Amino acid sequence: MADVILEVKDLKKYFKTKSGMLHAVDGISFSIERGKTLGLVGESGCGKSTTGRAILRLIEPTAGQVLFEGKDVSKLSRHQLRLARKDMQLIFQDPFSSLDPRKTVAQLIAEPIVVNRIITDKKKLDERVAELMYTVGLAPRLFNSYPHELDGGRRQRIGIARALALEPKFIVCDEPVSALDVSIQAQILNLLKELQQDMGLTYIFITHDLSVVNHFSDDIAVMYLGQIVEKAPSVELFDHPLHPYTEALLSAIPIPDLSERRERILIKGEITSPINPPDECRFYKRCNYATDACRKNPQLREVKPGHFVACNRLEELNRL
Amino acid sequence: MDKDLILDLKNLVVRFETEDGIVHAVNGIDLEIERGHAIGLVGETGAGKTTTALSLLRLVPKPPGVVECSKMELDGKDVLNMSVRELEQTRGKDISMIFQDPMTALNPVFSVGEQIAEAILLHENVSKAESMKRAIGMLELVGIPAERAYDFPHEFSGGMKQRVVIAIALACHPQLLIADEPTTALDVTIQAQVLDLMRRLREQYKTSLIMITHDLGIVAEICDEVAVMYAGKIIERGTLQDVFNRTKHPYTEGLFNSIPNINDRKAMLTPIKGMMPDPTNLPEGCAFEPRCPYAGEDCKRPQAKRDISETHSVLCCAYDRPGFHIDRKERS
Amino acid sequence: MEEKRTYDIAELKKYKKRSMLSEVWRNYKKSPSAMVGLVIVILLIVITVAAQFMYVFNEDIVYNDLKNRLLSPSAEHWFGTDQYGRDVFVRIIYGAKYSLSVGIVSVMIACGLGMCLGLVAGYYGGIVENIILRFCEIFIGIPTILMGVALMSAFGQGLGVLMLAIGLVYTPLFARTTRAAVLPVRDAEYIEAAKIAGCSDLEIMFKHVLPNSLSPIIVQATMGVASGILTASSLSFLGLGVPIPTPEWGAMLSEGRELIRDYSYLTLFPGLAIMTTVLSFNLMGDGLRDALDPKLKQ
Repeated sequence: MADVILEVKDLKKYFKTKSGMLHAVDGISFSIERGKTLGLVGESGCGKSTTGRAILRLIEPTAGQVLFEGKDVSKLSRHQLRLARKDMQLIFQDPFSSLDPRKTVAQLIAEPIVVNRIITDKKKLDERVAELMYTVGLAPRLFNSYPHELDGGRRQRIGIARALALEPKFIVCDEPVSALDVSIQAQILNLLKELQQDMGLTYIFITHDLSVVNHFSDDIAVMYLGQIVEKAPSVELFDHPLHPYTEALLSAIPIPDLSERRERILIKGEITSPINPPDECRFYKRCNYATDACRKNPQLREVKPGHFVACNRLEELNRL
Repeated sequence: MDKDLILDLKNLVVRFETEDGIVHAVNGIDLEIERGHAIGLVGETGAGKTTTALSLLRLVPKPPGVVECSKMELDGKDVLNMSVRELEQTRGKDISMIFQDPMTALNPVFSVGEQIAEAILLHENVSKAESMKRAIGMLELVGIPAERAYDFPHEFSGGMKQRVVIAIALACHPQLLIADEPTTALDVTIQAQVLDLMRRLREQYKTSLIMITHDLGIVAEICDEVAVMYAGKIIERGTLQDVFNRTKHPYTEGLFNSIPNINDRKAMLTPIKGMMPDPTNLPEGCAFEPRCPYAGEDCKRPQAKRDISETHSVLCCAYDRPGFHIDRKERS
Repeated sequence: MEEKRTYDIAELKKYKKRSMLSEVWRNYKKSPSAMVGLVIVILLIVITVAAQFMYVFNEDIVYNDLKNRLLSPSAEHWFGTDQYGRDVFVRIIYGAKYSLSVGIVSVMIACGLGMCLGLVAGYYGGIVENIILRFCEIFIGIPTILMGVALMSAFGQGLGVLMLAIGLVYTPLFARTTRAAVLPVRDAEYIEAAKIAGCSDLEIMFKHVLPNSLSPIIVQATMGVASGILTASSLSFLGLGVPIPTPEWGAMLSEGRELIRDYSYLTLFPGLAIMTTVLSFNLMGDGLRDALDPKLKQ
């Protein structure tokens, strides 16, 4: 029996706007086993960050359940939530805006420990901070520096140290490397991977960049307009993408390699409005294979063991 | 000597004299681009890519910027000593730039059609009606229906805005187009559309292109040549084949090894250790030396450019050592 | 098994904190006008404090010396004497404490109240914000002097009441400034980061939101001292502030008003005193605004 640490059931988050209901996340379900990584991939506006925040209840979900170790996070009281957050942390996308500019590195890393009253002794606290700094690879001389004196990579390490300070079991990584330079990206990705191995962490890795996530994830879920359109083990998804959107997304990535020139699959148009979406396939207007059969919103169904796709024309197109 | 150069740049130096010290942004760059070629200027934040581009348009703010250069010729014309009037004529007509952020590059109070028409009116002796007609033609060329010409920028999505920016940049058929990370702010599927568009337009107009990017993948898609920049210097320059398949500089190698490649998923990422040197305090020798796995004593001396072949050159003294070579393909 | 690492904390502490304050001071020093303002304010405070030791209220400030009344400025009486024969210079430097203290204390009241209101309004938003803002708007709509007059006549005269009245009058201004400064901070990602780290609302408000929205409030406070002094003087001039014969500058102006044709220096010097003080506080405020501007940081 698999050890499921997090299970999301039919999670929905709608925002009220002037022109109607914005369906940011529209009924998604998935589960993650302990120690594994789920990549949540999609373009801007697909609801991937909203999903991450709704799981941590940084925003209140409109409907659905988030079961963390069997407990429904969306039903916890304020106090219980505070306790639960020790186990569930978040690493932010932008290391420039996610650190309070008026706090030093040490203060920033110590904050989660202080506010949760885990270590009250000043000397022990400093030691713990120094230990965390070592874990994430920050030089001790940065102890009293301010974040604005540091580059993006080091700031992101502060963010990671903060997330680790409470010894969580589960971390949502919200595009942790997309604001960083490529040579620094690799440093941070490797760090996150090492930490996962050392501490048995479970990750949700949110990103728009499929090439980043494949290095990292056991499973990948592709989101489009608030719904998961395809979910499969990482290798399977890259080798046999079944949903037309996944296919286009994969082919759109520029490859730094001259040996293999591929035929590019361009999809037309841009993401459609998430406000009051009609009950048809969310990808209908851009899909190269769309027919009238797609005027009905497809369900995510298991077409191969572990491979889920939401597409009405899958059999017709002989994509299996 | 028989090369038809659109841009001939010799020993460009740009520094910013600020209160906290002198920032050495560009430290002696030679850049020759043949007419009709597309060159990718690759490097990370702070490598001096954008500053190089801005100095070609003479748009480096001074003070604090100081631009020195022994030769800067655009299509045979000396840009360095142009009068303000001549400069205005040149910008937009002979040389044009696409900026990274399409959200801020457009004026929110004019319709997109008017903004394209304005670019045409500035440089060509045509009537207002004629310029608007051509503007609409440009919009259709970049894939925006004519009826949207009178819409305002905020009514467009990011990808659409970038198309408008491209239309403005190409409105007067410039000889040289500089694109500064034109797709960084866009989603991958939209990026693919925009790159596709740029490739088609370049073929159609035979425009020379400088593509500034940090993404080697984009370079492989659309450029003929590559110049890799590090700390204000071009450290490797060559054709796509040269740089991608016969990589010579350790930094270029490091870049390739640190980017995830979806065709080669098993490979472990090998990051470059450390980080960019402080541009106010650059080492005298090779700026990459502190991060370089092959660094030796000889790297502490100033480096000289070394020609590997007709098209390929590298700035690295390790090749003075007998038997030194980098073989990227072997590692993966 | 990983070896147990030891960390020499004393070693870490060596890398000293470069405080934000020293940064601000470095920027502040660059503006000559701001430095002039600061020097004058410091000078004023020093002189006032010294004057409290040099002069005795009953003997040097409030007395009649009819022999020496209405003397023109001279070496002996720098600013001349008034209709009761009192030295105007002594009265002005002694009286600076009233103006300064009214200015500063009233701003402290306004700042304290306004900051809390603004913080709550900005952080929570929604209906709470609406109520606080509408309330502020109503108060700002009433002319300052009128408000002061109403409060003074309700609570009676006196220095304390004057401070409280002016403080209350300026509270809505601080509330609005604070709220405006809080809004962008409230939506910053580091607030979310604090939430996920386990901070309570109160901790977030006072540890993160307030320190990051302090700059405009400090500027407003400095400028507020100047306006406070002006308002206090105006009220005293109207006879509603500090009662005569206290040498409050506004009150002195009022006393000299009847003799303005023949003895203009009686109004000139208190007027100049008010002007200089207000001006130097405003210069300081301007300088602070520039020094605290985050765009100049980096």
